[in-house]
Amino acid sequence: MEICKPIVTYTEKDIAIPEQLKANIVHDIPQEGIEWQRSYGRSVKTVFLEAQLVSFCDDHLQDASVFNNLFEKPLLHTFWLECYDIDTYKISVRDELISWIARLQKHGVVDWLVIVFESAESRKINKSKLLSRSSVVDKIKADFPQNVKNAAERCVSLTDPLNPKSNEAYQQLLQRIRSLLSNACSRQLSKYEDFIRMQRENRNSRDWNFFRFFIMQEQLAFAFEMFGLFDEALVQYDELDALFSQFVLNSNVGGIPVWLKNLSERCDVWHGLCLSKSVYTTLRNKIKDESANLLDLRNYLFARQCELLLLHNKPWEVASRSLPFLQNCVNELNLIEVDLTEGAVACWVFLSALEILQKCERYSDSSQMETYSRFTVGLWAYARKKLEELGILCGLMPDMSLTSDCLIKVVTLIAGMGQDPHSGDESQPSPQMRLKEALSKPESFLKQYLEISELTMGTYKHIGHLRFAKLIGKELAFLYMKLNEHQKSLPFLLDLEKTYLIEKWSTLLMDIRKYILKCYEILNDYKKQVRYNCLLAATSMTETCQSEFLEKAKKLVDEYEPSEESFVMNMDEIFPIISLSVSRKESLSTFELVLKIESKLCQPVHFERLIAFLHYEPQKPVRKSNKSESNCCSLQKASKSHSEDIPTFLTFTSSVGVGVQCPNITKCLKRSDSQGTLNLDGDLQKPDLSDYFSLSNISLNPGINEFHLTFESPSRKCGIYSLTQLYLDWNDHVSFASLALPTHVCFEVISEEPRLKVMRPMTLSEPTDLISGLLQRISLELGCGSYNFVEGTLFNIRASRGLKIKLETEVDCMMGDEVSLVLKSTLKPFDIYTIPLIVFASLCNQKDASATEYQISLNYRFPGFENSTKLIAAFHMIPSFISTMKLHTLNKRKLVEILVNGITNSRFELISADLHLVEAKDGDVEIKSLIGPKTFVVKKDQTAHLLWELISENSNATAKSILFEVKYKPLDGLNPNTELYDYTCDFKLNDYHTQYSIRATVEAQKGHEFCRVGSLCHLYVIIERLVSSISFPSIMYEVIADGSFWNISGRTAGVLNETSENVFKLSFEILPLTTGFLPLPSIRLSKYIACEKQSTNANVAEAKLVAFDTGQVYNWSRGLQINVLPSSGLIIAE
Amino acid sequence: MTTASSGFGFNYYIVLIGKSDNPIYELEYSTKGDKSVDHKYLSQFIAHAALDLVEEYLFTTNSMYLKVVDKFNEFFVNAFVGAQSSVKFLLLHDSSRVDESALKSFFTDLYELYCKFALNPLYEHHTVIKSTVFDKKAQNLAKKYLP
Repeated sequence: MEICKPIVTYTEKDIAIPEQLKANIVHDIPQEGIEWQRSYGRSVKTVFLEAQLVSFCDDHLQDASVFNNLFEKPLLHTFWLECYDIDTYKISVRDELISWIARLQKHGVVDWLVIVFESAESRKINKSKLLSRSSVVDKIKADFPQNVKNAAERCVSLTDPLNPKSNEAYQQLLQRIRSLLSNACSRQLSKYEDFIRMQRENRNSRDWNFFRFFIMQEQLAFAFEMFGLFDEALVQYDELDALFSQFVLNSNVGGIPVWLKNLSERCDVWHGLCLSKSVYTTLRNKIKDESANLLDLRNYLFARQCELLLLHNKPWEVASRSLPFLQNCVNELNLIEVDLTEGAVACWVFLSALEILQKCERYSDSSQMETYSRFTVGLWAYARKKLEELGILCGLMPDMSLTSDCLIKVVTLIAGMGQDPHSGDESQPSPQMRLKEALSKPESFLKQYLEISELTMGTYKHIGHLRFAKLIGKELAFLYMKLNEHQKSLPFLLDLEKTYLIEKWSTLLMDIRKYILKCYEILNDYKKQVRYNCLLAATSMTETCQSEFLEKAKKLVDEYEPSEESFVMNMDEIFPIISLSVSRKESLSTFELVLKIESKLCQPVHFERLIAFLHYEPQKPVRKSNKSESNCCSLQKASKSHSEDIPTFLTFTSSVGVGVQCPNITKCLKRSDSQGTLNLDGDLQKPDLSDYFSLSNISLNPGINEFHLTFESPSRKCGIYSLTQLYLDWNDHVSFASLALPTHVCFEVISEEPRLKVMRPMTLSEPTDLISGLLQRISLELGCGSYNFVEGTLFNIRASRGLKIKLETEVDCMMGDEVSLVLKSTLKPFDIYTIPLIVFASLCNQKDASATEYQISLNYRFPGFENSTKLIAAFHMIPSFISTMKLHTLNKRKLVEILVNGITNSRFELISADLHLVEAKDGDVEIKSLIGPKTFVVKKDQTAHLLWELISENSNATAKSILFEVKYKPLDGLNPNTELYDYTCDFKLNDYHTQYSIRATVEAQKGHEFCRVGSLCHLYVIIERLVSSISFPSIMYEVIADGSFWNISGRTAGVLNETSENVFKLSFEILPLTTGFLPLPSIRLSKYIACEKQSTNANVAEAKLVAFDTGQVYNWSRGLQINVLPSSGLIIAE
Repeated sequence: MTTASSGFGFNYYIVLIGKSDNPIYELEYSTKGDKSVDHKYLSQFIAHAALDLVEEYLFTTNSMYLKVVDKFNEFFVNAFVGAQSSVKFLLLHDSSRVDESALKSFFTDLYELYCKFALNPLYEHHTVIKSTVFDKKAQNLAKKYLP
């Protein structure tokens, strides 16, 4: 590189500087950096200075007002002398040194340095002296003129400089040189910058020349580059770049300067940009000679910028700057109206772009790939475009023919490229080689073009610019179409179609589909042709286009060969579904689907069938537990044989569903950039579903169409039906299907068995419980369930035993066990049919108040069916009243008491109560009523007591059973009639004749009038037999006394054996233990069955006591009390 | 395609882009006397291709107005993004006279218009805007700011 280093002069006095030392100094100065204090407050930078040593001559001191070169003049002057003692110095050297300094000062040079060679010996001598100022160096310093600043620093002594031991002095020298040099440089640079600025100001003057200015300012750049300030150097080039651009822009409006005119006129070659040093050095020379053309200038400028950027370690900026550079350059060529051969610019751009890319590739590493790609992708795209331009120009594109005209063009273009700057490099094909090869023949052009396209696409994808990548794909697709390889172009087009479809760019979508259709037409894909014709017919802009495509589609469909398999198309774009709703129709188990489809076609289209498929999911019908259902109602399932053929009612839960249902999960979860198209028709298979809504022979008019489809649910198919897909059959083979429905529609079908319930009419006046013994009004509720009860169905209602029923409506009818009823009207499912009934349960011999269960069954048979179904409802009734009997005895007299207890709050009047003997011989026993013809009223807590006496003439005659009869009528409620009901109740009687009577008395001891505590008393018991014939001859007596009242001494029990006597007298001694009225000890009689006589002593234990029946023993003294006095008090007799 | 030089006036194409990169509103506006050329396909094409660049520019700046994101022949593509980058506004124009501050105001006003429209509970976000009122107001904005 033509760069002059700062010059350092040397003047020798009595010494020849060793060449080795000079070389060392030149080499060592740039080894260390020095901090450079810069003018205008710019930041301090560390610079590395270089220098050249030149022997001093007088030319070096010429006036410095005009600059040809930045470092033309020496920056530092040095004076070398060798002097070992002061005397010699004073005599020979001093004058010359002073005159040298004076000369420098005269020319305004302030940067100089004196270097004194000292021998080691003289130093020793100096050291021995006490005064240090007496050395030669000190003397020299003292001799400097008064106006010299930093005099101390301007003299350096050097001892044996080539000896590494004296390194310290040498380093000091270097440091001093660097410091002085940097100051000088700085001063020189600012001067030069001022100069450049001044030059720039003159740029509008007539004789100003950009080339000259360029070379001048470039000096600055070189200097900075030399100092290691690459960014500063770059700034210089950028300034030049901007200046030049400005000139070009201004040339558009003002007059074109001569140099610019020259620049533009010389454009007859289009060498590509070359980033190798050798090439741009020649370019610089061209610039210097003012023989460069615009492209040369630009190439050089950019090459330098690139180099500096690479030196500055910013390779990605090369990439980022290159595209603007290329575009700007092309723009400039246009602006200054450079007359280039057609295609020359494209050649240049292609070559330059590839050169930059190759350069970048060398620098890129994986970590910066992303950053790089962002910038390089533009270059690739630009290069690709230019290559395409060249291809078209030279007839190399597939659909073009290579004419001789084209060949001439190619030859011209290749000639203009000049020599390949990379001709020696075999590592990779140079840009020029590639371009030349591409232009040589169509096949290799195509290869290159595809390669670059592929690369560009890949890079775009890499940095995420998918749309750009797809657009390149589109161009490739067109290329393949031209190559007649439509199969290859399809993936690109489909990919783009998918993008447009997802992003809903209708115009673009329509356009791309036209190309797709073209491909399919050529590939003769029948199905796709139909599909795309339809799609285009639906989406085209103009109506003529629409009808054209539609006609094509129709024609294709008509031509369809039935032998081929049927196919299905997605209808979402052509016939979008607007809304769906399912409702139940009036008729049984029939649903109606109201469907709104929009037809985007411009003409009505006839379809054979419209089917909406239902997905069926079996589910056990949920039997809703009816909360109002009373407990006594039972539900029995109808036999299955019935429900099989009876149309079942279906209910549905309408579309309000919670949760998310995704009908096309596979599509949602598919990778978004996977290659498969969104709407692969191959996915659409007609589902094999047996349940569907359908409608035949429909015509879809343009705009919104509404259809009503019906579906009859097959019986016994309970479960959830959900709408899955919609099908439009064009003909037997071609159909449209919806991919996804706008709403999820489902309904549930349930089946419910009929059931029967007994309901009690609720009125305020009547009690809520059902009461037997009264006419009660009930209603029988027949819940139809899912069944339909047609008119004329015969109901047979049967009551269980003890229950009489009749229909409430049939007033005159007698109560009976069974009622038949013909249904007068048809019952719809889930209707409730109420049969009002009057029931009567006769009061039975009930001894307690518990409720009795009754059942009512309902049989029905549907007309035309063999079997009948039985429904049973059960309910409970409580009796209106109950009766109990008590037997009372008065010695031999017997009294019967009947108690009638009311259970409910209803009042009943009892009339003509009577008691009969059952199975009794007349005359033996007579019943005498003790009540007279009275009426009684019973209700809850009000009991009627009725009394009769049994009179037996003969003691043997007994009544075994008696029957209580009474007539009653309710006094409350809705039984207004005075009809009397009979109530009978029979009671059993045992042997009730009194066999023994007991009399007991307690007497005080003889001589005492009263019983006293602690004094012995007597208990006399007289047992009298009242009947002659005794079945049990022996009886046993027991005296049972309360231990707290009485103390009985001696035996308290005994057996009275069979005797002829009728009266037994017994006496016991008892002791009262407390005072007051004490109840007498009770006496109990039992029949005594002694053990068998044969087994004498051992079986005493086997003797048995059998209690007497009620009424067989009469105790006269029951409830008797005796007053016992304290031991010293009076005894008052009872 | 005719260039701006063929007559006095410029062509503008404004498009609002929804969440899934779908166009939700398109407006063609021209200050040229004749509207003979149908730009729609080209405009859509350029706008769609520019989306990649808008996405890239989004992350380089904090402001909602992204200035010129793309150039295509004589067309410039200016972009503006709504909050959270959910809605993008693109303006294609071949005008050399329009200045940045006017464009910025245009976008800001258009964004405000869109925000107000989006508050309508009956409008499902990111679907096509079919409103004559919106259309009219957008036209007025274009008239106001675009030379």
